[in-house]
Amino acid sequence: MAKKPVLNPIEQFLALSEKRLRGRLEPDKVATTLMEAREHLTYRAEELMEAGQAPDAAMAMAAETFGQPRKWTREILLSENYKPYLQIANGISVAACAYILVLKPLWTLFLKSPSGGEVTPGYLIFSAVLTALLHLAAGLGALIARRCAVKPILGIIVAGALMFCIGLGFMTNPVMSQAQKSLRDDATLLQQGIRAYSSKTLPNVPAALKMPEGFVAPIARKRVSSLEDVGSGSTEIVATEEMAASRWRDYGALRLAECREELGQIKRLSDWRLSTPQLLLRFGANNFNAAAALLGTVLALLHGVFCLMLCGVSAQFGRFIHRVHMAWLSQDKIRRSPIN
Amino acid sequence: MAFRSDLDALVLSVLQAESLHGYEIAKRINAKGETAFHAKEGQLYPILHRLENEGKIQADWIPQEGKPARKVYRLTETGKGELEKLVESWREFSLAVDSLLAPTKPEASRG
Repeated sequence: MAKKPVLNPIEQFLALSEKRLRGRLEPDKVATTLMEAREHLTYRAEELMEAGQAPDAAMAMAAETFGQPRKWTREILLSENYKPYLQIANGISVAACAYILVLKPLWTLFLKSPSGGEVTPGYLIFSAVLTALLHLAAGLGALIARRCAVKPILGIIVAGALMFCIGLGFMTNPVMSQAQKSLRDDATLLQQGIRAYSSKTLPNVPAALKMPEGFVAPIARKRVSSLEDVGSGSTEIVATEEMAASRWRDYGALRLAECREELGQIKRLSDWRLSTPQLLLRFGANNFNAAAALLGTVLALLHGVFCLMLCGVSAQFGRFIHRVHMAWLSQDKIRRSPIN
Repeated sequence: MAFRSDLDALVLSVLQAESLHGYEIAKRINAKGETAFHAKEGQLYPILHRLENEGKIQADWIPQEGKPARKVYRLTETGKGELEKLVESWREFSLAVDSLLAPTKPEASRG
């Protein structure tokens, strides 16, 4: 197995710098910048050798006094007005998020979403402010990445995390809209139930409930304790028609009480536009709502992961665009060169 | 510690007399006793590139026999104007600091 050639400190510096500049500046700019640095480092090393230093030590000192490749290339990129395509990538991410935010109103307006979500001017302003905040978050992430001279991926993560936090903190949880719709439907049904059971004109047991061995009737039960128990009553066969009718009347009275209570509960819940943290704080104890809260949290987390993935993918896309652009520029220069 | 405008002034002033390449510019500045580039000599190149992009200096590639071409910088008219401004503002600043640091005469007692 062939051994990798050992680079001297000057070559090491140039190799590392080339790696960091390649793809970010035009190829000939990278070449001339590195040529200039090589000349400086060589002269400096020669001077040190003339002063009596060993060649290796002289080259090491020349590279050391020149600076760290990471910092030096960052300064070079800044001096060349390098526009990080990461910003473009962040823009794509934010645009995608904004699109998602705008999609809901469009959906409601033109496709007549069954949820019947209200698209008020306030909601549109809220969406616009949220989009601006997301853009700010993405910009802040990119700024942190640039200022700290960290790898772009950290900037992407910071931007994604900020977007996620803002989304989690301020955005109405979509699950709650679904829950609201579901409970509105329930309320309608319950009102219908109340009207039906209040009439006290329950007919005799219909023919369909007559069985050879008796009559189908609801099982006698006490008050239900949770929404899960509502509607889960099963039936049994009773011997006489009078017993069956009595059971159905009792069931009707019980259901009426349940309907009134549930409707009261729904009406007391005036504000359903809650963010995920509010959702968790408010509905930690109730079975039905805790399930909704959990689902909402999972959805918010998935949204956060989606944002991060979107940022990552779009950053890679941005880099790809940049590389293609640079390659095209260099090809164009070759075509225009006087040799051709 | 040097500020950005100070480093610009140093580089522009060195180039005032003649065209020089990067290493020579660093040497001239260091020879004047300035410690701006002592620690990290590579710092000079981003400054040169920025000044070149701003049109304050111009770079020419001079061919060398048996060696790669050398990039030599020279001051432009814009650069000369900029240097004058920097020198002027430095003088004003220096005078202000001198007047602040100068020992004050004790006030004559009243009464």
